[in-house]
Amino acid sequence: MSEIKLKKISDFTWEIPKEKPMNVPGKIYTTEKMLNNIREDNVAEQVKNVAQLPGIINHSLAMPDIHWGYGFPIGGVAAFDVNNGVISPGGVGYDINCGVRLLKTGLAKNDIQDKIKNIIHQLFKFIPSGVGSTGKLKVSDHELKQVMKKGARWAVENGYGEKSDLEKIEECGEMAGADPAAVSDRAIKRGRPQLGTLGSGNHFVEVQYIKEIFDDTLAGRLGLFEDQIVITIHTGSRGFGHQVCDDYIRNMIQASAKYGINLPDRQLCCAPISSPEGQQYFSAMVCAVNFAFANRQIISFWVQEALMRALHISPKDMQLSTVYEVAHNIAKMETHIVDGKKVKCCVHRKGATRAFGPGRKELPEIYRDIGQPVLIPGDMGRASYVLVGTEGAMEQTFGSTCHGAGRLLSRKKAKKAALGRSINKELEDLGVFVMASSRATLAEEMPEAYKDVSDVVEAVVGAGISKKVAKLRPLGGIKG
Amino acid sequence: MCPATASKRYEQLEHVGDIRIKVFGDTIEGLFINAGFALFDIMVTGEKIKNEFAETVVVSGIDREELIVNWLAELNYLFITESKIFNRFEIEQLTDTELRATVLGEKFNPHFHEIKNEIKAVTFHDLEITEKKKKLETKIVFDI
Repeated sequence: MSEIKLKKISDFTWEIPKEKPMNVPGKIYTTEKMLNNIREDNVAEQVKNVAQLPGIINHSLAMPDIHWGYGFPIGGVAAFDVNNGVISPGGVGYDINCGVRLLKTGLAKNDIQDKIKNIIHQLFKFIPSGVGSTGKLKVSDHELKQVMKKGARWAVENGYGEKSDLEKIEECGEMAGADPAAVSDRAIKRGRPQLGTLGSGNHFVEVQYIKEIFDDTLAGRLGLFEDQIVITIHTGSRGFGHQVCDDYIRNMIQASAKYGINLPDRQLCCAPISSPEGQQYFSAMVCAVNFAFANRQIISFWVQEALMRALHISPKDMQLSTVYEVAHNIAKMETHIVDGKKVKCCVHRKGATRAFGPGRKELPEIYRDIGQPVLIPGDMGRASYVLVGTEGAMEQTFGSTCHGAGRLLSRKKAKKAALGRSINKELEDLGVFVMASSRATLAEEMPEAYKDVSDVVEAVVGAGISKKVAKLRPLGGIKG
Repeated sequence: MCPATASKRYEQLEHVGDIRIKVFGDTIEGLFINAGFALFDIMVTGEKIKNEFAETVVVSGIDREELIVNWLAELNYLFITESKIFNRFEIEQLTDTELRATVLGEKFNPHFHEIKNEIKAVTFHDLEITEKKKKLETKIVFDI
């Protein structure tokens, strides 16, 4: 049980007051309803630990889908001044650039409802998934280095998808600063067979329809309409990213000692951003970021193939295109206004999404005046949301918001709760057809293992860091 | 069987997002052996692994906490990249910074073994090896 005192600031924000050895206070975004889960979990302690790191600016932030991680909490945001701050592999996480892409179609719910099982079967067939899944794609070491540098562009150049997809991906699907020389042979060996695979755990491809539009103008701008069929892809950099993180945590444990950084938890190990160790991690991390961009681009292409096969229609009739793609485990160099001054900082988002408000140059021109689209997947049975970033996010959270529903039950408790039940059957009763590579995954990922994503969204909208555009309901999906 | 199996080898603790275990050992060698067993027991059922070949594993670390994480990470890497699973661990040399062991196991076969969990990484979170009444224990979080 957490004994840390939380001070209510507003209906949607609570503060962990600054005390020694914290450098800044902690700030948790939540509703009163979800606060008890946060108290019962160990997360406030983790938010507090992050607040002790050198060069952290304003607050150690926690989004409402926060849950206990290791080192940094999942759902944490921390910005560090590039001049005196640190970069931490644990602040990004193992699944570097785990993220979400939303694809839209020209199809309506009625067009496909009786074909959903066939669609899911085809997706399951086309997209390798599950534990240690290896791809049908074979790349050489040389090609993998191109993937590390070019990201989604590599995939497009090799026939996976359209060039027009690229501008609708964070960083245009190709983050600058990659140095393949900073990536170990181990990461290459682990990652190479996994390009073009979904993986396991909470990764998925889901077919959904638009249940509700909250803002007609914004929805119109994103090309979304009621009852429209959309597809969400959630995956990351697979074993490649895991190994990059693993390698650099070891480097950073030594670097932390070298630079005299006091660590409340070894997993928070870090190095000054400008140090050789910090720069080297950043260059390797970017390689994994680009691997993940390529991975989602390839999977998007296979989604189209699977839909064509299941529905017997041409791409032209399907009108499949990318709405947007976000990263939610990443560290980025961004400029933010701090105390009225422009400050260059390294923003760590671990289980949190960038949510830039209107006007930021990083946004694609087509969306620049409305703010960044933000994609929030929920659990398999309930809902997902499309939001946009706001000026409020720029002022409060370094342009960040939540990334999903957030776990409520441990995997162990979820499996126990699923004993004697058919989660597949229960989901089918809700109108959702799911195929999973393992039954254990299905039990661990069942709806009640998660917070209600609507509560999470209520908190970020209430706090003014995001704006609601649309609510999606699942029809079916594949799980790893 | 190794003497470390005489009492409880490990237990699973609550952790909302990942897997957290507490490993026990009568000796430091026993603690490392039981940690190795726990890793594969969480991924596939440890008892069901046959000993068809042996492999030598050598790891180092700055202290015994890092050493135990590196030991488990190396075993996990052998599973991920070469589909090898183990359930017998013979420690040949163990200091605070070096470990040399022979590990026995077989190739993972999806017809015989069911994967229960994929371990992406062995974390350093809240890591400490403690000694109480001559018994050793440590808590480890696996990222899954």
